[in-house]
Amino acid sequence: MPATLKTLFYNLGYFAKEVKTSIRLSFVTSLVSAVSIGLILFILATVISGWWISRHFIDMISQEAEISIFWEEDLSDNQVTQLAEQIEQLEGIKKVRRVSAEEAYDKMAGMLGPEADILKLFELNPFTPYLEINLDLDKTEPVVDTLNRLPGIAYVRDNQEILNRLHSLSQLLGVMGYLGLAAVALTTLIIISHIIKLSIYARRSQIQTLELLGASKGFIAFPFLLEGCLIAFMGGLLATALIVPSVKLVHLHLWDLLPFLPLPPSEELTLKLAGLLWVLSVLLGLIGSIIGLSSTR
Amino acid sequence: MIEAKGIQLKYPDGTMALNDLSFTVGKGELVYLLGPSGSGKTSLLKLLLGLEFPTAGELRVLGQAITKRETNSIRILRRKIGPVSQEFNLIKGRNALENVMLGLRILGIPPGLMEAEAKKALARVGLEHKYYSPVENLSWGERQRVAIARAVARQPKLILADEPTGNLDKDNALQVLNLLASFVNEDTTVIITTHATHLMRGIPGYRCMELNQGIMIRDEKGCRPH
Repeated sequence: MPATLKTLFYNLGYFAKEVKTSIRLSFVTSLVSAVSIGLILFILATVISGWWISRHFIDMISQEAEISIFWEEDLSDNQVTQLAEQIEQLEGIKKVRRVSAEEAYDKMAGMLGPEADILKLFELNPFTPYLEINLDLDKTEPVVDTLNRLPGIAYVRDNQEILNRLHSLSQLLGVMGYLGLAAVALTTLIIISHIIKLSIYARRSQIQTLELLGASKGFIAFPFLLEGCLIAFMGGLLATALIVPSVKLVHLHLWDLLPFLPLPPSEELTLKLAGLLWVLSVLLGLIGSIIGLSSTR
Repeated sequence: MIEAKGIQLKYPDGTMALNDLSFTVGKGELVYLLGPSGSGKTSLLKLLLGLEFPTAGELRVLGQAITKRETNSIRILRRKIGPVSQEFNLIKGRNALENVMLGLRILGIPPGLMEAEAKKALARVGLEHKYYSPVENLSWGERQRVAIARAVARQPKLILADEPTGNLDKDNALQVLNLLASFVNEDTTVIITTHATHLMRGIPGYRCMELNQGIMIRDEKGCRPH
């Protein structure tokens, strides 16, 4: 083991004690810093979770790229079959399937889950039969154009518009996520570097003694790096403690209100958020400490 | 051990702290560095510790050239030196043992051995009953002895004591000077700056180097106090 690493390893207990002393000496400042970092990380986590949910939503919808075709009421059963065969010949079409009104009703009941009772309010089945078409996602536009020109078709329902809107929303949330990340990073770096500067100032006589005794720069700097990481990590933990129940609550409410919305599992989402917050907080703490140390020398 | 050839230290404001000093100090010497305040004693010790750098001349301490700037080699050199100062430079809020161990931590000594060595050094300065006393609770004389224990625990080749008796009464000052002199051996050299020339009696075989306005005006062995 190299000598420097050996020295650091032998003195881990000492460094931990130094960090504890330093935080104790400026407890209120450290606490306020950790809480501030926690709150701004929580805001960031909120934006990022919105971004991830919308991306998941778009992915799910994109995978189920299909359009529905409703024919004119006066078409006979034979004519509908001919229409389906004609559509199947078009480029980009994978599969055409006739869905009866009863099946449409059952599908909606399945999507609504426990809320399916609402359908019982209708005396008659409100759904009409249609043709369900699976197609290549990138061919949606020309296929829809062609279908709209075919005789016998009353209405073509595609999810391109909603996909485009969601995509725009996701892009907006993504931009907000990146901007939020930059703002949070900058704020955290300022807070951490400032607290490290204060810490260095409070312990300047100890640093002079260490220099006098021949301590390496790493030996002197290590407790300050640990301190910065620890304060930022405490902020990360606070943000996690706030975001996990928030995400679960929002998830539950969304599930109740819009049961057919394809949400990512809340456990997966919170786990990813916690991992991001912990890594990000430690990383920002480390960089902030380095800035504080280098700007003090 | 120390070789100085025509060294000069001039501060940026133009003050000439040391001027054209040439001397050598060998192994196992006890050197008293004398002179009035502002004569350059502390500046010379700072040069020897690599805290200041000569503006002219050549200086080597324990084989290490002290040149123009702080390098890793200078920090390694300091680990071979035991510094003792008038202000003690002890860490407040820590006990005597922790303060002595601090000097050893930097050397990368395993924790168990570090504690044993620190206790041994405190026992050598007569503080075996004060291991766990916070330094704030110690008398001035005891604090200085903790600082000496921290310096000698590292088994340094060179002990540099800057006015170690400055804050002490006569009895404690005599005790500290005797203690520092007791660490002189075949391998270890001790250099002490002091105003307390009247306390130098009774310590045999020492050498006096006297500075005045940065110039060496006396360098003799077996000197007597003024």
